[in-house]
This record gives sequence, C-alpha cells and structure tokens, in this order.
Amino acid sequence: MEKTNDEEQFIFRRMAEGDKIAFRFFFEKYYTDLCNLVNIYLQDPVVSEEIVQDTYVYFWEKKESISIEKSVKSYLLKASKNKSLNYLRNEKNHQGIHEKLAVGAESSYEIQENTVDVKQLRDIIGSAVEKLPPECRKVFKLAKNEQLSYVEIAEQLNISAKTVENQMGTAFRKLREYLKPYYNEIFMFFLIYISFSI
Amino acid sequence: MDWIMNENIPWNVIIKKIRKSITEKESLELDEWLGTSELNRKVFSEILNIARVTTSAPEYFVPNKEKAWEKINSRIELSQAKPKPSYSKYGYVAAALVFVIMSFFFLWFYHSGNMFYQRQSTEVISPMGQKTMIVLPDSSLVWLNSGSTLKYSGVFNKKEREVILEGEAFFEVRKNSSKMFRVKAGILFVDVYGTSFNVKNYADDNTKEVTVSSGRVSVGDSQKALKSLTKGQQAVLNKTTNKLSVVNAEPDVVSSWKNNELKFDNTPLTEVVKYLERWYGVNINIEKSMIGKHNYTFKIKTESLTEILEKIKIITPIAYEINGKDVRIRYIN
Repeated sequence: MEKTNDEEQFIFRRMAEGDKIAFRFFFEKYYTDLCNLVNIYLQDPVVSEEIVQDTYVYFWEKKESISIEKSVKSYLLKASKNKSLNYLRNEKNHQGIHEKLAVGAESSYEIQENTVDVKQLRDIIGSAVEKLPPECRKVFKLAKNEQLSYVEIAEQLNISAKTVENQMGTAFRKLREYLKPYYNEIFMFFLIYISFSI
Repeated sequence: MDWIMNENIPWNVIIKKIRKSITEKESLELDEWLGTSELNRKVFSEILNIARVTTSAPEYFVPNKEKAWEKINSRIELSQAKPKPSYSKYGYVAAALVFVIMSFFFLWFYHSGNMFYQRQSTEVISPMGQKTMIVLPDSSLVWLNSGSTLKYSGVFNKKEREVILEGEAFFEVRKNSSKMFRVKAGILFVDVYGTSFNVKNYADDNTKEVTVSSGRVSVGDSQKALKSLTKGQQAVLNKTTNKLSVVNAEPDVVSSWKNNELKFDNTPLTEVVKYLERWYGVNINIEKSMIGKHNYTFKIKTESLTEILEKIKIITPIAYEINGKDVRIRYIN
C-alpha cells in the first residue's frame, strides 16, 4: 500500500503545478487518518474534521512554496498539529484536566516518519491496557468512568478503597512504562503542556 | 534516564487530579511539586497524555469524505480568484526544446517501427488485504481493490487511454472528449470519456460487473459496444452463459470498499466469503451445506475478521477456527 517517497514527491510536484487530482490523491489517502489522529487529542470529530480540512486548504494554497522534507504525510500531520494548537489556544477549549495547563508551543518530541497509522497506534494503546495485571486492569477500566468514586469501585470489586488507589497508581506507572517506547508516536502532538505562570 | 530520577512522582495526587477529585490541599501539593523542576512538569504532562489516550481514546470514526472534499473544493475555488500565467522565458525555451526532442524521438520511432514505448508498461498490484490508489498519467484516479492488478502501457495518454484490469477497481476518469478511456477486463471492455464507475473482474467470480457512479459509459465484449449505461446502472456479464444484462444497482454500495467500507445488501454467504477473503487476505473454507442458504446485510468499517465472524455467528449458528491465513466455518450441530 505504501508508495515510495519518490512517487509521492512526483505526485506532489504535479500538485504544485496545479494538478487538483494530485491534490485529491493526498486527500483520499490521508484524510481519514488525519481526522482520527487529531480527534484522539481534541475528542471532537466535527472540530477535528474542520481542522484537517483547513490543513488541506492551506496545503493547496501554499503548494508552490511548500517544500516536503520528509513526506507529505508528516507535512500534513505537522500542519494539522499546529492548527490544533491554534484552535486550543484561541478557543480556550481545553477546560480539561488542569486549569493551569496551557498549550505548549512546540512539543519536545519530533514528528517521525510513518507515524500516521492510527489503527496501529490504537492497538498499541489498547494492548498496553490489556497488559495490565488482571486486578489492576479491572480497577483501571472501572475508573474510566469519572463518576465512579474509589469507594464505589471498591464496593463493586469487593476490595478496599485504599487498594483501588494503589492499583490506580500501579496502572499509570505500568502504562507509562509500557508506552515509553512509543512516546514519539503517541505524543507527537503533545498538546497538553504546562505553562507555569502562577 | 529521567525515569529513574523522578521516582518521587506523587501518583495518587496526580490521578486524583485527572479524576477531578483532588482536594484543595492536594492541589497545592501538586503545584509545589510541579514548581520544583521542569522535569516534573514534563513528567506530569506525559501522565496527562497517557490518561487522555488510554482512558478516553475516542472511537475510530469514518468521516464523510465526499462532503469533506466538496467543502475543501469550494474553498479552494473561492481562493483561486486570479490565475497567473507566469511562464518564464526559460519555460518557453524548455518547452520548445522538449518539443524538438520529442519530435525527434517520434520520427525515430516512427521510422524504425520500434514500439519501444509500448513495451514499457506499468503494472500496479494491490495484494490481498490491501488497497492502492493510483494517479494515471492523464490525471485520472484509480482505486485498486485487494487482489487486483492494473496495467497500462508506456503510450498511455499519447494516442489513447487504455488500461487492463484484473480484479476490482473504481475509476474516476478525467474528462477528455478527444481521447477515449478504455478499461479492458478480459473479453469485456468499458469505454468512457470522463465519468466514474466501478469494474469488478475477479478470476474466481462467476460474473464481471460494471457499475456507473456518474456520467455515461459504454460496455461491450471483445467485438463491439453492446450497452450504454448511466448512473445507477450495472452491467453484469455471466461468464458461463456469456450473457450481458443490465440491472439497477446502488453505486455507493458497490464502490463502498474504496472508502474502507464493505457494504453487503442481502448478499449470499458465498459472495460475502469472497469479499472477506480479499479484504483480510485470508482463505475461507465453508461447509458445503451452507451454500445458498444465508444472505447477509451488514456494513464493515474497521472491524477485525474476528469481529465480523462474531457478527455472523449471532445471526447464523456457526463456529469458526482461524489458523494463520486459513479460516474454517461450519455449522454447530
């Protein structure tokens, strides 16, 4: 399925000369994956699509001045990332995990080749969770539901609340360990970054 | 290794923060820890990201590409207000030079009768379980389904546009009313000037099918054009009787595979099995007594083979075994 970079470079050159079908090629090839990648971080399919569409419009408008360093794929990914960051900055739409969090300008992780395979990424994440010790995994999965308190989880599993707390610690420690080799792939966006200006 | 250095991570407080159940006191503790070093902040954001991707990774979704393309396209057209014919004089010189060289070559080939170009052909293969997209030299787009091959010669788009297809492909042919575009699928051929359509020509199928998504196409056998089709029509050639018939079909369903979807609409099990074999690149064996008994209507997006078989299992009393690339399906007694 993968075309060689030479071939993509060739198609890109045609696009740069104004061939819309060549542009369409890149749209067909990467649109779905890009939307899903952006969506992992933004968690809003509609906004994710809009951002990726912006990226493509930009890609077309700047086609004459763009130079593709690595691959079209990583170019589009980088552009989508920047647009996502802008979106989060402007919309202040990150009332997520930490009020004092802001969005970091540049991630400390470089975008690598072949990072766009969302399905592979999901598999890696999914299997990391499955790799947790059984008890730990049960607690972790129940805790996904933020409404459930540790006490409620403890009741469901017939263990103490303290055990739940410890298991959660273990879960995150292990997940961090399991996912360490894939940080580049997983955190290429690295959207959440702390600004320390309190 | 930053990992060993920060073993004093306040996990419990961080997790409470993630779960939004942090107390004010703990929040201050956390801030203090974060204020201690850049490394702590980095670790914290790593954990937040882990929480994000592991606890709430959203479902994989299949966006509506047609709609998205329309949107992108209309925005592009808007911004393309002023065309700029900015060919430099070097461009003209180069073009003239290319023309001269081409004429020279043309004359040379013509006189020597050497069909060198013709012998240089391109072959694109899409293996089982994979799909490929091709931009042809005339800028027509081809989506090549699993287990399919598309061939075209070096003279494609010089005098005519002709491709040879084994397997299944969806064509979006760039309009050029002076150069016919022909798809050869064995004894069947499809002639168009600028339309979109799906051709199915797998060796192990009993039929060859041409389904039109837009415009008009002409379908014929090796001798002559036989039928003219428009949007929503499908030509079916029965390979045993060699009869060509025209039926109505849902073009979006037929070509759904190109959007990484498989749609079945009251499809017999044997057909479903063939699709699954190509889609997942496996060999499927079904019990003989199952043939002709079951029809299925469902949609596959990103499911795994196991998930599909589980779905089939819900509606039909079957058991299956997956052994590497071999799948065996039988009734449960």
